[in-house]
Amino acid sequence: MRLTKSKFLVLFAVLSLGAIGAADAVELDAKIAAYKKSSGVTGNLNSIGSDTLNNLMTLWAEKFKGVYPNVNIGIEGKGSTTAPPALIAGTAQLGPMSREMKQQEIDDFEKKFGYKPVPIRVAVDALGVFVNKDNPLKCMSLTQVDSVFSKTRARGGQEIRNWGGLGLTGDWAGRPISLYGRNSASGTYGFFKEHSLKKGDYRDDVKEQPGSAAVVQGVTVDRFAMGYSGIGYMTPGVKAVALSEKDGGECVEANAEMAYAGKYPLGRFLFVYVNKAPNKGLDPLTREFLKLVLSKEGQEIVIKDGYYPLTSGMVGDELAKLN
Amino acid sequence: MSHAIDPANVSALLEAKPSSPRQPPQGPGTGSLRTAAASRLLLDQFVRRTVKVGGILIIGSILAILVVILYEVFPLFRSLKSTPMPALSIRSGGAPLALAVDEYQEAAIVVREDGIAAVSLDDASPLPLEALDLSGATIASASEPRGGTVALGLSDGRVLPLQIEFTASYADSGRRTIAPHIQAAPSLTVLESAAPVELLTYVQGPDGPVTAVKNGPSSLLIVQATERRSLLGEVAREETRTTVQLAGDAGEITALAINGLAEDVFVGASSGKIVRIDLRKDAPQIDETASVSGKPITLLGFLIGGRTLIAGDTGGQVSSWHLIRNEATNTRHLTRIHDFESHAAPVAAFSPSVRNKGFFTADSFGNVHLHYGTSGKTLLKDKIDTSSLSALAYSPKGDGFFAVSREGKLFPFELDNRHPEISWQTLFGKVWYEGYQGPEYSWQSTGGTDDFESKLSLTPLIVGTLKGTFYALLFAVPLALLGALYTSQFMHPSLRATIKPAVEIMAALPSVVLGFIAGLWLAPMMEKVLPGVFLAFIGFPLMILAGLLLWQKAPDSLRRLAPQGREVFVLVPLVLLALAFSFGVGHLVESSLLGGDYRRWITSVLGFEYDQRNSIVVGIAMGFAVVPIIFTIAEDSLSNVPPNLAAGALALGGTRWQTAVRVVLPTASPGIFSAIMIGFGRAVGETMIVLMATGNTPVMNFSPFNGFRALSANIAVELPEAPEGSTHYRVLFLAALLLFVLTFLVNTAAEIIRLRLRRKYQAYA
Repeated sequence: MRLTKSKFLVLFAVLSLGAIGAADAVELDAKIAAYKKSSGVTGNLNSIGSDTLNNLMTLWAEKFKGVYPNVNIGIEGKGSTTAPPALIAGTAQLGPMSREMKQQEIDDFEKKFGYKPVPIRVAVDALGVFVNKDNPLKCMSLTQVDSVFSKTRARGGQEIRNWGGLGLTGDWAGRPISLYGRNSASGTYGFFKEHSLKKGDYRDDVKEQPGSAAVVQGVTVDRFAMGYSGIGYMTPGVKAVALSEKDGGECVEANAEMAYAGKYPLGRFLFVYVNKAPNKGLDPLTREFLKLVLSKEGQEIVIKDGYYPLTSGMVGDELAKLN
Repeated sequence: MSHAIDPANVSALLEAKPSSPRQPPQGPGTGSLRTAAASRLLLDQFVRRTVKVGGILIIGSILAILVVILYEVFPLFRSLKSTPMPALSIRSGGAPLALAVDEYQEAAIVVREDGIAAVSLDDASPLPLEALDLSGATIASASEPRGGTVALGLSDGRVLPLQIEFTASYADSGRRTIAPHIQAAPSLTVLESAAPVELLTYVQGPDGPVTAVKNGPSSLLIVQATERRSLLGEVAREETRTTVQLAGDAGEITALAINGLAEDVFVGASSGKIVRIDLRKDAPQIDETASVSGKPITLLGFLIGGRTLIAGDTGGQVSSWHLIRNEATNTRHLTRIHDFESHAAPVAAFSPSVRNKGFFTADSFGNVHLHYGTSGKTLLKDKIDTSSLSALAYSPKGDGFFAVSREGKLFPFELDNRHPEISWQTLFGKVWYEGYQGPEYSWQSTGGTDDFESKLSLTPLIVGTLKGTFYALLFAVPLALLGALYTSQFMHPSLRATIKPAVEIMAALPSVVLGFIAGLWLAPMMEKVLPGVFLAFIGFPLMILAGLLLWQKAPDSLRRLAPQGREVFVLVPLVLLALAFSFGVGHLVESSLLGGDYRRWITSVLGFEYDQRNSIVVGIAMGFAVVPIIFTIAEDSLSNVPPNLAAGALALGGTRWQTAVRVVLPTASPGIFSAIMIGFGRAVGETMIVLMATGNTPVMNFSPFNGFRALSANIAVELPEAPEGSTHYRVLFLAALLLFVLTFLVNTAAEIIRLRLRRKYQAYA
């Protein structure tokens, strides 16, 4: 079951790659070193967590198995919130998360092991607000995003229910906006809530989808829809709306340059959390996997999957955490 | 005889008694006969016991499931308990102003007039702590410790922000040591007169720290610092200072607080009023004044998240307030949300939880109350043996609390308080949550941050379950029952032999496949032809009637193609034709009557919003899953009506239709009723279709054009993320219990009604 799902996802990812790769040529930092094979790496590796990172984990796992054929990797991606319990229970060595751990989750981990889990940044994402490809909307402010998605509207805007409220005219103006989002297990759900809705609450009629691919699929087939997910899930059927921090501010496209510069308001890091005792090394299997992720090959996969790679400086910082 | 007409296979199975043991053959028999009888007797007994054991096992396992669910749900409703621990005496050095404890309840930091001390909570022995340089001043006041920061008001007019931290280190033996630490930030001179700072509040806002200090009987100074960190790591600090004078009738300033995002300063006054000063404007200015009571306010403080304001006064009254935005004017207003159980004396101390919306208040006579901000309930009332209580601390993990008296006596309490947010009101009633315009039924169980207020109202989920079931049955019951009636009474037996298993095979279709098809194919499809779908309800009967009229005029050679019992061959093309016709007319209707766009028409004329993932789609998909089970049980019961009844009716001159409707249908009604109820049970518990085809939107309406969130799908979606033993986890079990009870009640009621019906119609059989 798990295998077929991951294969399906690989296929899905590969199919969606072409368009993105062409549209958005992201350069890999030339200073990131290639992966060096190490010896004696065998065993089982489990990853439980983020759905945003699911395709990436699958692609990395395929690459890793190419290098070390005697390794078995199981990947489950139901949402970032499933990562901490899995790390605590020891059912997974890798906990991919699209948000940082909550204090409560760190506490629970610390209670069991006596030290905090270690976050490794593995990629950069620009969380995209997607509309159907036929939608003429070009740009939104975060206040407008909040007014569309939130029932508490912590940013202080007025409720927006129709596309006309976002400045669209003609046939679009009177159409209600159909909303798609993630379920609460998702880190993307939490991140979007914290940063776009300023910790406000989602409207009750945001359709909760169990995965990012389902959100994008929903927006593809529903002409009047809006949704959000990691930029890696973008397909030719949807387009990402440029965002501005404030009403009337500069519209910033979701791309690598703007995410690095911190100008895109929903730029974020994607993490893999690992259980590493202070002053002790990681087990070789986990360490080598993360080294591959943080290598030239691993970061090329990040580009292929539609996310943005780390810079060599970040890679250096993260590699230092592994030892 | 009664068994012969018993229609429902299921209930027949339930009632079937093991066949009564055969009597051994009478009289003397031959040896071989006797052994045969004996072995038969043995077999009988064996089967009887096996059946009995099987039945008991089934009942036992259902009970076991119920017990497990109840076991998980029960702790939700356990009332909380506090246990006083032996009091400790700490060295006295002036009145304690603030108290902080570490999460393991091993160490405490006490802010007193002469300085700061750390003590062990085991034996009150002093713990090492960094020295604090006050440059000769003493501590005159302290702000409420918040997010590990406490601001000290010094006797020389300065404010000193202080970071409090407890670090845990582990020796090789695994022993934990807690070390308290303090770290002072640069002090801030606020009162040029070098008078002592009597009253202050401090918060680390998103742009930088904001401090408010009382600098006159009814005036206060607000210091807003903006810190910008450049990419090179340099911090640029800008500071603006504003003095705000309260209006004459407000009285003297008695309490201060700033909300979490540092958007407003709240000033409590001796007149019993709260004055709100808006910091979002270019210069801070008074925005509104709200009246708590006539009595001077002694305490203002915020719960975790910095959105719920708690006010206490000299009358002992404790109330919570939200800042509600008026949509029309875009202004914000302080709104009173809850009044908690009052103290008998002025409210003197306050300590909020750092995990949830709970908080402690105390009066100086040692009465300590634990309240919960979301539910408005007072959960605990304790009396501490002191008459000079001066500071309180709620332990970070919520498993204890501490009070300290002016004389330096420390009273620790253990607290068993795992699910404070649960009450009947929060589970089933309307609750006024933070940031909401009014009380609402809402389900949003988790957020990505610690200060999230869980919204755990099960009402939208119950409504969702009932809504989904209703639309599924609306689709399935007429289809399945009429199908069963036709198949059993009119269809040619040879045809029936293939049709019935074919429908039953539909039940083998995994519901995840149905959900997948419904969500990804049916929903967008339906959106294109919705007016046609509604027209089909008129189109079908019309077309079939027209077909019948034509059929009667048809030449015999044509009619011979579909003899009696095989009319279905004519009907299927007719139905397809009706469908095509309805869809065609639907487009015409849409363009001529509905203004060319039915979605807009639904919104503007009917006042509903059309969602692509809606209850009609789920009704059809779930109906598809329910049809086989209703069909097959109903068909069985109709076919099992004794043929002599129908034959009698026919012989008396009844038509086949009259016989079917007036004789067969009533006799089979108990079975048909069971069929519908079993279908109901299946629809209530259905998970995958609901999960995939609706948007899982916890809305509170019965509009067919919206989705819903069902109890079952909600459990499936959220159980993997709920930490074991958490409130969320237990509430999901409560949802399971509700499902269990719902199906149990419906099935029991159905069984009672079925037995009644059976008794009523038994007479005819």
